Amino acid sequence: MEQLTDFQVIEDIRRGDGRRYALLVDRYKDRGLALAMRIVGGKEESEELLQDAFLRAFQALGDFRGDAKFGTWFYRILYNLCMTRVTRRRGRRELHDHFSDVDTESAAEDETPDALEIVEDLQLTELLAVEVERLPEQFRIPLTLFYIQELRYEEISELMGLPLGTVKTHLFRARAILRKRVLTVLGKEVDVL
Amino acid sequence: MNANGHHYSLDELNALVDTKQEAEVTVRTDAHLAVCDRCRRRYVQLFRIDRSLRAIPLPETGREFTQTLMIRLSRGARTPLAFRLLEHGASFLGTLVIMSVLASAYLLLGSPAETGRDSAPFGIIARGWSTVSGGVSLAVQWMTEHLTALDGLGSYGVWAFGIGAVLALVVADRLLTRWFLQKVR
Repeated sequence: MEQLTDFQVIEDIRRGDGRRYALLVDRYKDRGLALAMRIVGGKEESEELLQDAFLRAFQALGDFRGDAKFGTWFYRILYNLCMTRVTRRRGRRELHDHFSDVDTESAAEDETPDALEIVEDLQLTELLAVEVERLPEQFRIPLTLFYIQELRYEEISELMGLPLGTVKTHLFRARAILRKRVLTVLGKEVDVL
Repeated sequence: MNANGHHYSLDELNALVDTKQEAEVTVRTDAHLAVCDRCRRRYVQLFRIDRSLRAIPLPETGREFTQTLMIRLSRGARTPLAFRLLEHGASFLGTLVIMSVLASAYLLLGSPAETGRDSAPFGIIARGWSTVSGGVSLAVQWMTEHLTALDGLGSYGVWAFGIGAVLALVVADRLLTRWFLQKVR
């Protein structure tokens, strides 16, 4: 059976078939949870925020005009909810502060030039999953929006309210930091072996 | 080699990983990567990181997530009569309690002119009540003078009190219902 598009599902909901919303929830809940967890941390709290985001999106479906994809629109609602939560939790601390000069061009690669070439795909993925969580927030969030939500630079820029160039810089910096950390960790493992 | 004739920076290599370049740029970068070990190694590293980042497994929501959400949605759209009666009943009772306390305070303490008691806290309550009733009297007086079309509809004071009481009940009901829902849900 041909899968309904998001827009078709939304049309059905507008015609009164609210149960169709479960289709959209199932489509976006796991990626949404990944985003919420990368912003607020705990799974339980993230699920609670995700529920709230879905509820708000449902109530606001009348305002959704279809200019953007439903996913992009929904992720914006979720992102705003999560950022409000973390901002309340820690007070208004500036995001873009002391991590702007992170050194990414380290000597690590010269010490272990082949570490990233010999590591297995699975091991690298597991290592990156850990290292992403340790990234500073201003790099972790755009990276998540790019890889998990699969948003384009422009969409991330609009969603986060950052200039396009800043989004690119943060994404590049994030990957560069990950590269450096992976090389460092793998380098240590190679030394042990 | 980049436009300046140097090795590519990590940012430039990152851009190569992310975006499709124009044919002319691609030819130039490929030519450099073919002969420059340093840039090629970095490019491959970033490419592998990019691919691995896409492969990180997603967390999964709890099994009941969608079902719980749909129940919450249906509750919001179709609140059961018993629940609506309960929430409005609770707010109505709350409003009655507040009004009873104010009325009791007035009846027990009287106005400052009547009792001569104007010390806090009783005096404050009595003066507040007096101010409100004074405002109502002024409004009634204004209506008496200007709204001649209402002649014959009975006492303006009774009408004003009735309208004010209904408005107060509606506002109190909305506020208390919202508070009640926040506590319950």
